Amino acid sequence: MNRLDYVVTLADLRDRVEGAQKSQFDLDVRAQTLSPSVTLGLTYFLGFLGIDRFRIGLWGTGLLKLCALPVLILSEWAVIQDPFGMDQRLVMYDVLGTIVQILLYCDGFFTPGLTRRYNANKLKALFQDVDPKSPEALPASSDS
Amino acid sequence: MNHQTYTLRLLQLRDGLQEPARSHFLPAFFARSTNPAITFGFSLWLGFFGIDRFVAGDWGKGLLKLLTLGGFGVWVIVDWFLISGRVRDKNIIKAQAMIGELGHAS
Repeated sequence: MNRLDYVVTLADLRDRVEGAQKSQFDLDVRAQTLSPSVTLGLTYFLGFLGIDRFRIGLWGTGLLKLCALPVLILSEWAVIQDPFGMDQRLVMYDVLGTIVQILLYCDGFFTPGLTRRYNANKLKALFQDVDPKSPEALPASSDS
Repeated sequence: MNHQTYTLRLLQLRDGLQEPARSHFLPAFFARSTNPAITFGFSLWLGFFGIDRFVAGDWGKGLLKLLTLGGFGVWVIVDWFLISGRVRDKNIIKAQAMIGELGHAS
């Protein structure tokens, strides 16, 4: 989800609520949304552990990234064992590790957008079914 | 300015507009504004050359960062924490200027 779609989604949701619900919406935006920049930082520094994906609720792909960790360790081990690239098999491990590393960095192109989608879905779940005619009826899950 | 305050500030600025300016505001704003996440990405990858500061519009600081190779490595790390907020601040100033323009136009 790009920035425009994200803010337009939030604006549409915010336009649907009135009075006390609008204040609650603003509080929920402050308390429950995540920063795409922080997720990008996590992708860069802890992406190899899948922390960025876990943060935005994508447990499956987070675990998949975590599973790539042994490949990276194997690749580092291969470089230490054969620093001059003489052994074909160890060079193959090194190449495989480099490919995985590039794929992990490429995830940085997706995680900010996925964070925005996560935020929008979270707010939609809280405010989509709110009846605009009853401003006193606050969403049940927003008091946490 | 953090991400949450920035988003709310944009929504509040939009609230102050009347139609049709209200519906034109967000697309026009995002066409002109800088993406804080992309700037942060530049800070991570090319921070040593001050590219993040150039993208944010701080040419002087960008040049200084380039000449000192990211403040000898220290400024680069400091900017990881500051650059997104700086871009958001600049974007809000742009949004306020746009609100003035749209207000006069409508």
